[in-house]
Amino acid sequence: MKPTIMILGSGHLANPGKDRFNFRMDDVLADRRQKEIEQLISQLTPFNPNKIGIQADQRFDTEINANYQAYLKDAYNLKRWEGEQIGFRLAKRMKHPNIYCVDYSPEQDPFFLEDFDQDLIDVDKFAIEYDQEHLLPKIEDFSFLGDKTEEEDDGRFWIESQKYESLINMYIRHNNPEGRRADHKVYLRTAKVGLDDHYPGANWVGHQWYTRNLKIFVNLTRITESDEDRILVIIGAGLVYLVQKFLEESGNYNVENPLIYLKTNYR
Amino acid sequence: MKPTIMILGSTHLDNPGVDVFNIKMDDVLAPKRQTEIEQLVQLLKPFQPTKIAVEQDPSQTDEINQNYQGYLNGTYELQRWEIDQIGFRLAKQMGHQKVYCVDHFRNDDPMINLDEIDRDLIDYFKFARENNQEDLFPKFEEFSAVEGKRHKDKSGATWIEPDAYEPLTDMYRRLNQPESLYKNHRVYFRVAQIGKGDQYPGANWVGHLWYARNLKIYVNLTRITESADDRTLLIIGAGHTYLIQQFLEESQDYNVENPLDYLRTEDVN
Repeated sequence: MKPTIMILGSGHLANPGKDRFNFRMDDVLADRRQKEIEQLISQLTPFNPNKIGIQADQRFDTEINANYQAYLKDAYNLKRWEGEQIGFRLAKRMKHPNIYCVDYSPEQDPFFLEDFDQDLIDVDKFAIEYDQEHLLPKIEDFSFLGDKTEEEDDGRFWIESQKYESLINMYIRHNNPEGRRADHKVYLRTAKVGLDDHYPGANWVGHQWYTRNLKIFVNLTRITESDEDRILVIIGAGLVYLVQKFLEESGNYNVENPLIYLKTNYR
Repeated sequence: MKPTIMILGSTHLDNPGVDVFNIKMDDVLAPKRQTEIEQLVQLLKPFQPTKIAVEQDPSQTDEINQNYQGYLNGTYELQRWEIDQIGFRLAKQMGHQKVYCVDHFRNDDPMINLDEIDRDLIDYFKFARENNQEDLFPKFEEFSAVEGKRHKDKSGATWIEPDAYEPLTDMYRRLNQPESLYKNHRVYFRVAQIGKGDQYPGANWVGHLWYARNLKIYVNLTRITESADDRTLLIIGAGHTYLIQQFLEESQDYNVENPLDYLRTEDVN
């Protein structure tokens, strides 16, 4: 018997805008969204997780668990992000004593401290200078459901949809294996940005993206204590492909598919 | 139509001892081994490679190709390593003008300057010994089923002297079995776990050195790809096959062929 992990790929419900392409989520604290989140929680409950991992750096563990303890005592209002809306809520329902922070941000990585030359990983700058823009990620590469796009001065995009999509449907879309594969393919194209001795694409994809995903995998192994563990991990959908691949290739986990639990509600 | 790549996982025929576990190869310049290499080259020929890529950093391109030109002109004697023995030989028989260096291996890599970084960040051996995590170390059985006497050299590398003689084609078939390539790859996920708290020597090594290097080998392969008619044969240490093949497949830009389709013993002798 092996421990079980299920990864729920998520959008960022609080609109942190940390990605190049960001989907603008309407207010998840609105009544209708709150009901949908409750439905989502009910659908995930049968997975019967005994631990929930959320996308926050371990260095924030104390703070986040203090908030979780307050939430258990009804002394904390959930914020908009998925770590609380889904993670805290489900953890409370399952009566978990604590929640697990499993992310590893590149800012923590001792290989990239303050004197690090950012040009080494500046994919955009290099691609623009050397006419390799065709290798950069494009909106069409991702499975956004949007019909309105705006670009910010710093190159970030916000995508909005005029059509309302229920959260369950959104999560079904985020966790579609074909979409995940298509997203991952973009990294292998971005990795090609470079020329001769210059590998900004591969530096970014290898040293930052893969290594971060690998450390999330390692963090999951560190919170695994027994073969009976059933861990639900809630992370950005872009991270699902690699973390899941690492778990599978390690040979040490049963990896469950969240689509088995997510059902469109026809009411 | 997509360009085609085939990866021939190899052992290092000249015994450089660069790996944690090294199987001692007898002298490949001996007549019997030379006959076997010639047979292996004949088996690989039907792949019809248009380019042969070898495990050397691109910075070695001039030197390697000077040797190759010398070999074409009959003024260079093949060295023991697989680059010359298989790569040069096959490239010449296919009428290639040059061979391609696609490894990424340099101490002065600006991302991970091995001469300057704090070695403790990647020294998973040391960390594991000091923190009672030796159970996460690679084990020989995970890399090879070859039986033989073992000893450690001064650098800490383990050498295995095989008990039995194995013909080269059999050896290459064994090295390229998908199960053995996966078993080999799987070890990295255990090594990656060496560490605790905010220390990740295992994951630093696996991520920053192993994955990043293989990703750049993949990138180097894309850089030598010029047309959809390209048929590139990559000859590389078998430990690299799993990841490079995965990158090529995930890119969805290549047909990846399986060397086992060519390494059939019934065709030999």
